[in-house]
Amino acid sequence: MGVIVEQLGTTNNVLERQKFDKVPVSLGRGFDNDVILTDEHVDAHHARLVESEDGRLWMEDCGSTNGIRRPRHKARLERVEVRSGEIFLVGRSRIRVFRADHRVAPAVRIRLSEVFLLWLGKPQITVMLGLVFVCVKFLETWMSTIGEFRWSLVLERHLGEALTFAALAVGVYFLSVLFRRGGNFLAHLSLLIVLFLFASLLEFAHTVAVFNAGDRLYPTLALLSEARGYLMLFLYFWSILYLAFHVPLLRRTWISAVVVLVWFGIDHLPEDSFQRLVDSEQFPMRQAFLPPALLLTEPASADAFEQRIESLFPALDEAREEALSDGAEEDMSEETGADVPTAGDGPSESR
Amino acid sequence: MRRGFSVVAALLALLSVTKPSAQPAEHSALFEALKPGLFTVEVVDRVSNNKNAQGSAFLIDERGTMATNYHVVSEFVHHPERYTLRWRDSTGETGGLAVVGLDVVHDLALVRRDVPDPDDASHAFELAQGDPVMGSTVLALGNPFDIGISIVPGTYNGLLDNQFRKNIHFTGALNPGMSGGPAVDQDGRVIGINVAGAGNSVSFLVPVSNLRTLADEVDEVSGEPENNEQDRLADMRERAVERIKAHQGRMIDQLLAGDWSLESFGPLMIPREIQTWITCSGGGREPDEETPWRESHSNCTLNDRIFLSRTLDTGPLEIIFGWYSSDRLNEFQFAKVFEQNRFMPYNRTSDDDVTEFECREQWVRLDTIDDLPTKTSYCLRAYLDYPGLYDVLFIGRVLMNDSEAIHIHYTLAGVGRDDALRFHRHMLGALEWE
Repeated sequence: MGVIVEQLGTTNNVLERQKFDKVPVSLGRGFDNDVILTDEHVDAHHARLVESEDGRLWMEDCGSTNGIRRPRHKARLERVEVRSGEIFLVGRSRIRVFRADHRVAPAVRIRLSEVFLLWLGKPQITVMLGLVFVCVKFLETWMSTIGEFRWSLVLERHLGEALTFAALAVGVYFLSVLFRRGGNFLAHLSLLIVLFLFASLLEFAHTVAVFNAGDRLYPTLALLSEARGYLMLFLYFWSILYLAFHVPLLRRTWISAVVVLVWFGIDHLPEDSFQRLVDSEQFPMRQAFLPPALLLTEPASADAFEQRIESLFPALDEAREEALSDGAEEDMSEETGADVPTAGDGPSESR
Repeated sequence: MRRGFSVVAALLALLSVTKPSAQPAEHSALFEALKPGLFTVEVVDRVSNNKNAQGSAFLIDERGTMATNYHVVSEFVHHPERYTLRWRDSTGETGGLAVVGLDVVHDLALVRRDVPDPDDASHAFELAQGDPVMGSTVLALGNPFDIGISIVPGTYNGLLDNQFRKNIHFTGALNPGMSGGPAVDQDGRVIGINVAGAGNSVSFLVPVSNLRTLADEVDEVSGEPENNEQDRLADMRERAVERIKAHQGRMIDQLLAGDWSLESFGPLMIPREIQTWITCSGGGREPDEETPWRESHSNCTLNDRIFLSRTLDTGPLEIIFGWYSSDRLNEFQFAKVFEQNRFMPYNRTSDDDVTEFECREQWVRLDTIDDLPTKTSYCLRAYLDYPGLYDVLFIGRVLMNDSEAIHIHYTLAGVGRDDALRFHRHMLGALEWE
């Protein structure tokens, strides 16, 4: 009977795989073993795989110092039956044993998104994207610079973006190496650039929309602007989970969704008074002006707008009523607090 | 220490306006005669018994009615449950006061002693009938900084041109605390009521005719059954809304009937000094290295503010035109420059006085601006305590090809709906494209 013995890393990543046509197979630190382990906690002749007469596979302890255990179990195993695919701790080494007739899962079809992500890993693609990225940032800076243009402005204006970029590029690669997932650094870099470019494009589209819009569209645009941030976050997580950690599709989708939800929750904690102040300062919406050629909507007629102005008066009367009833409630709560007004420090009337 | 300094400053200011021709002996005789009719008005906190505001007042009839400024008693009018009103005379005697009439627009209030004094008839001030002669000596009386009744001689300089309300321009130093005191001619007749000092001996008086109108009005309504004080004050506040609305309506009327002849301003023809009480200034800037665009402004204002409370005033008006152009900036850069402009309301408010601005904002074609797409913002806020009064903030922004742009901006404060819309139509209709 054939067996396959795998030496695993801390995250069950396969470090070495050996196939044997027949048992017994000996495991230990000594060089005369079939499977040579380099772990100092392993004895020279530590364990053996044997087959019993009825064809079952067993793992035997050869009187070792540290014994054999199952992961997360304390009990030492002297002689234990091996089920195909089971993991044992031999000393501190993780060993997985398969029978040769172990059935493997069917192949996973290569998805288009994965092909794309791998294509991004080609060096020439990374270099090309990098150049496009720099050009776009240059153009962006040049368009918005009033006064003298300096090359250093390109970095100065986008310092935050550049720092985020560098931190993500280095940080994720570092994690990927740490977990020995053999992440594709170039693909990761290209992906970052693509995502940042995509974000810039969305932002420009949003600016054009704000330029064209009127107050009726502002709430929608504000929502879209927020949604844009979450979309980028989702896409980014979704991609790096594959590139750097090879997480399967379904799992990386829900992990990304959870991250986005948590982020959304943090952004929408109950409002405090300071936040309300900040919000109210944004009046009525940040104006955006672009060349007149980018005005794509047909302006309204003066009469139509005047009707809208007239409708503003009843709306304000309503807002006033609302503010008054809110104010009355606040007054009530103040009264119950027995707040004594201290007017003594009020200065005498001066005009 | 600071108080001491301001006293010295007040005395110095007093000395500097005392003309050598003035006759001190005569003034002192007049002062002695008028002094019993002069009072200090105090707004006192009910709980702590501390003074919240202080001003001057003077007797005008035998029933113990005194005239003072609305801004002296405004805290009491708004919060009668929190404050009481008290008079104090030069001998230190005190007593309670009730508010019997308000003219918020002209910053006047009539208050009455709870218990009239039999001597009130003889102590009451006489109100002058005609206007004084330009340059004649006027004596302002009051209690500056609560340091004692004082007399400030100065000169009558006619009515102010740059105000719609037409206060008297008095050259003499009015100091805080003198508000509400009388300004008398050399015969001791009241020609105005001290209202504000603008520093450097430039001060303003409310013409006495406004006081006479208010006193007549109070006499007419005094036959009505007496409600409790809080209800009466609420009524007065309600009437104040109507007065302000009517006053601002008259202002808009005169404005619309004014001189709308147009002057050239870049590609636009705009009105300038529509009325004598509108003050216009203009300015511009040529392009330079750091700011490579041309910019000019026309800024017309009516800086005539009606005091409503310590945190709220209303009434001023502002009309601003801006014109920008550049040969060196591309259209993206130029749009960025244009985007930086910020527009503010012109009157003072706090969160407790008004609602937040609500806006209608849209691209609109205006025929008086050559049918060019104009990003038009019409923003409105309502006064919480004065139903039917609004502040308007209007901005029209036109971005043309070849890096040229104009903006049209005006603010109105404390106007009713109809007046606001009337002004808006007239304003936009009056413009012309060159």
